[in-house]
Amino acid sequence: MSEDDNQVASALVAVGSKALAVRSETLVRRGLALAKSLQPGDADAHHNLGLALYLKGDLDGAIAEYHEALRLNPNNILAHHSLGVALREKGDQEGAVAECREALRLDPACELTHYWLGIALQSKGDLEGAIVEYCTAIRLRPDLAANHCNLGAALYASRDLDGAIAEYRTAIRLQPGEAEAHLNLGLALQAKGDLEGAITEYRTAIRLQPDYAAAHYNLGAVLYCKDDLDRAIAECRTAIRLQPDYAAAHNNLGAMLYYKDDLEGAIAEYRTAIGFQPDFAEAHSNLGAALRQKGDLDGAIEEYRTATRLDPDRADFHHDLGVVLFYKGDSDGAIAEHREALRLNPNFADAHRVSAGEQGSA
Amino acid sequence: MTARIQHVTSPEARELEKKKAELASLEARLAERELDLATLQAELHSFEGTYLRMVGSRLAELDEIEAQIAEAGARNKPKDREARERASQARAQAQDSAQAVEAEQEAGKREPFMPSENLKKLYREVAKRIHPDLATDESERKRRHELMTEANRAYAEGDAARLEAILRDWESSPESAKGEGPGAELGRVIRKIAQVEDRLKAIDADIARLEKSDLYHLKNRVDQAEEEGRDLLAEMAARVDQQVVEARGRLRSIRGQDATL
Repeated sequence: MSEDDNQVASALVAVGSKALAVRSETLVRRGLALAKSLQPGDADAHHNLGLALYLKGDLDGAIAEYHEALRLNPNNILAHHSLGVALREKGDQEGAVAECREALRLDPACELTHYWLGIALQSKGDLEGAIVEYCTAIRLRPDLAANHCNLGAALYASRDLDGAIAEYRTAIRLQPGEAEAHLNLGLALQAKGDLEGAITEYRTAIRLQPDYAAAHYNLGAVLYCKDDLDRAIAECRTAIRLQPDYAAAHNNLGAMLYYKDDLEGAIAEYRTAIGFQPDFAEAHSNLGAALRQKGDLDGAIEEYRTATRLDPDRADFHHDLGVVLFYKGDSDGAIAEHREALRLNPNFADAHRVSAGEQGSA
Repeated sequence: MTARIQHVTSPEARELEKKKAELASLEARLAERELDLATLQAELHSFEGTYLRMVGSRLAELDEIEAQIAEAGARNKPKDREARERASQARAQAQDSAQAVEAEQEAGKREPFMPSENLKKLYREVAKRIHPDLATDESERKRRHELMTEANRAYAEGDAARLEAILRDWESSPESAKGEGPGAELGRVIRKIAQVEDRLKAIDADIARLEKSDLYHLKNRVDQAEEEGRDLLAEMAARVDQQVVEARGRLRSIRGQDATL
């Protein structure tokens, strides 16, 4: 073929030639290698399809594919692991634990599976088991901040505050830019009574992530504990601006306004909190207190009754209800509530005192 | 009864008839093979766009993270020449991948190529009548070449109206007029046959080249998987997403180490 003919031939091929350009050849070559690794009919293909469905948010479809992968190869470690993660997300913690344990039986050294098993165990309330798994994950991968964060959270939940603080500090050392680790460290320090330390950590979390509503909320709460009411209110309002449906922040803002003698403002915030979270017992109780202060005893009784219904084990709710019933002249009702408060918490000094007074007056 | 006259034909004339029949057959085959080539090119072009959007973009993201990991590694070991070299190579690959994906995004979304029978028929007709290798002189060849390129583009874009217009214009143009004398025609037909045969060989070579390409093999695998009820591109995307998550973890870990130094 002459050179001229070659030119004609290449001109005919020219349409779409950009598509076949060199710059995308490498990406195509890598894609082909990847496609070859995903063989049909084998467990990996079903596992990968499951992952694709999982990423699309189709949990049921993903679980079905993982099961198919395991039917083809019961020893597919990744499929057990992925199935465990998907089941946990579906709320089936027992299933999640079983799958993670099976994956670990096949590969005891998989740090990620220990991590997920820990989360599943913690979700089903087995804190001790979760701590064991997080510790194993840390032994296998000591440099991963997430493992230390999870262990910190489990230790915090089991009231080992010193242990939690140490783990959060390690996580921050390994990965200093994570706002959540600073927030969690702040919570642990606050629980230990180190309010200044907590403020520092919350402020660091806010510096790293200025739109972190939970950090503003907790900073507001700790400033309130330090009687810095104006700054506390400002932080609480910021949290609400960032997350308008933040029921706990509305409740806290209500409490702060209550102490600023802004009764109407407090009542409005409590009602907003209850609007977003109708089963928020604390907000009902706080609203009861504000209504009682306003002189609306019937309204207060209704809110306290809702609070005791939602959380019957809170001695202070029963006590507060008893007080308002007493003011309404319902001595029997008041005594019954105070007795319940004492039953729940025999050291509830206020209830003892009021109960004795009521019995005396009765 | 009317007498029938048997025309006596010269050997050249008989040879011309034979060669014309041969050329006609070759022209039909040429049109068919041009159609095959154009269809294959357009299908690959369309598939490549889908692949680059679904998987290529993710690979480019992965390459960018890997480049950042390699660069962070090189920063941690400033005297390690190999680490610097690795970082430089990783950055080059990330740039190449990003450019390929950007070019695809700039070109806009490619529609799936599904030519109708009418479109194929029109293209065959254009190839049969306008093919540059059927030209008798250089200026005609050049014009045919331009029209054929336009026809290829119209076919790839599924533009039947444009193909019809090309045919219509061609038929009404003076260059399509014939009127050759039988004496010189045999030589031109023989030359055309040679040109068409050469073009057929070139088409075969082009198709063979495309069928050996990675893109063709990848498309085949995706098509085959689809017949089996699998979405192979989605599976590939998920696998790369996994790799991206893992690489991000490594990058975070390395950056954490950076900050403690």
